[in-house]
Amino acid sequence: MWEYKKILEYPANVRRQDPDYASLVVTQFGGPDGELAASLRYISQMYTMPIPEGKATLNNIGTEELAHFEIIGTLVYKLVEGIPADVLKNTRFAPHYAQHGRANYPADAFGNAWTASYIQSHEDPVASIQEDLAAEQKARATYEYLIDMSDDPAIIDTLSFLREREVVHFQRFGEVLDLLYDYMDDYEEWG
Amino acid sequence: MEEEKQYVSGFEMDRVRLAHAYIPYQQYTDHYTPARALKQGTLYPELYMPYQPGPRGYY
Ligand SMILES: [Fe+2]
Repeated sequence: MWEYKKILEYPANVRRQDPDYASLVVTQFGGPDGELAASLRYISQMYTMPIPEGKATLNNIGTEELAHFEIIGTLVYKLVEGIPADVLKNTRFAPHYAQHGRANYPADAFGNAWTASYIQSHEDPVASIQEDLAAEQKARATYEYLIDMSDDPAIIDTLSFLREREVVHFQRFGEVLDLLYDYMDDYEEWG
Repeated sequence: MEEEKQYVSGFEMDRVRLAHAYIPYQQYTDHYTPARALKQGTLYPELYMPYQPGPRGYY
């Protein structure tokens, strides 16, 4: 089960509203390398992981990614909250407004709806963990592209925190990979 | 600092096999204060690798 705390893991502040940027940063809400994909990928892979450290890492990081989903959702909404439709219609956010109003929706920066096809889950633990290592790198790279396109120091601060977490997650999955090799070596030796 | 970033003690080269990926296991060295760790996104100085525009993928 999960416990919910009604606070964000990290503050999500914006200095100035910007619907165009909302329609870009939304990719970390519902895009291919976004936080929802990360969370559901890890939480799905957890069951067949043969070592407890692997299960725990997937559960922990999968849980944290959901907290990041909440941070990005907060950012997206703060960027558009209360902006009148006649302003939104001249921004990149117009198609989103046409379909959802100002409600958050898990889609990428092009407007494609989130799909489970973004993620994979394998019984082979080495295959799964390497998918996760790749996912962390792609999320890190995406945060860098998004930082490149912002001039709001508050947004850059939040995205920098999330980016650093991807670096740490990569390290943790790397350690799980190492433990899996140990586990398999022992299996070879002792049957 | 740049050299330290690349060097990891205790990495066992003799167990490395072809066609396998390896990330060195982290060894504890030092930690930030909790306040600083929460701000930066990691408790460990050796894992703090902020974005610096330059060649893509270098961090
Ligand atoms: Fe992550």
